Amino acid sequence: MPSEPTTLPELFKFYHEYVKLLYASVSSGGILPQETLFELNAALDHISRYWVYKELEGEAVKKAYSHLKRSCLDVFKIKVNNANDQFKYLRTIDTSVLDNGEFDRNLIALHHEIRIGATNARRLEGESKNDTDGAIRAFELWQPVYEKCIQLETDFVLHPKLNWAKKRARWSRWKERLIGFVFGILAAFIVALATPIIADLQNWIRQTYQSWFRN
Amino acid sequence: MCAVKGSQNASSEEETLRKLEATVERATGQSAETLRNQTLSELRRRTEGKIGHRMKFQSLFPLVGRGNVMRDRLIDHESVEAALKHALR
Repeated sequence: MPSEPTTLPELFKFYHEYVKLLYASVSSGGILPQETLFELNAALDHISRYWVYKELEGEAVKKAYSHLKRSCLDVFKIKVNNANDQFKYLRTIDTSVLDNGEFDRNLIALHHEIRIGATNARRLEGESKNDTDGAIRAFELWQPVYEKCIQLETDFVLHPKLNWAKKRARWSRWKERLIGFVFGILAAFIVALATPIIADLQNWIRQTYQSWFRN
Repeated sequence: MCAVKGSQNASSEEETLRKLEATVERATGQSAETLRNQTLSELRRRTEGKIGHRMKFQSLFPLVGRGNVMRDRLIDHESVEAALKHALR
């Protein structure tokens, strides 16, 4: 992340280098977070004040930069949240057979790295809200986390054998249900057969007991 | 000393930017240069063409943002049009 811009050309350079790329990335799935738009609108409002209300350039740029920077940090958090959802989804599928168990091991390790990285980045961001350098360092910490989130999506969610694992899991669920159903019928059949035998046995015991008691 | 520190910061910035560009290119399937050169409307149109439906807006509050009234509602262009049509009826 560049040092804090102080002029409008520097601010727009930051916008084109970072904000626009992250905006493209977050909207590539067809869903745009409102909060990102709110930050961009707020930045536009501050920029406009430089011309309309003759606000000082440095002041307007500082405020607009704060919103643009926030929009970038929000995109990182959204990506972490998406990665977390994708991880939970993948854990509902039996992927233990993929790549001889490597898939599961790598997935868990990657998710752990994302969590640790995001926690550290967020802590740094929170500790230094008013410190510009702190926010920049947080951005540098977020970057590898963001990279890992994209890696989770491309290497795991879009894994070529995942569909096969899903079908296999679906078939094994159906197999379990089918076996349960067959065992249920068998159990009912055995009970139906055994009921008269048990009743006869009860009668015999009762009669034997009564005959002993009379004697 | 300051000049050395400054050049280190600059190279670190360039490195971060280069990595970010590579990651975004991997996520979107488009080069960073193409993404920068497009207008936001072109970007939206291209994304909609790729995914096959209109862009939707989602509130991710309280994960991000500083408060809004939409909460977790999903709303697309057609829904906005329908709501407006209903309001104008």
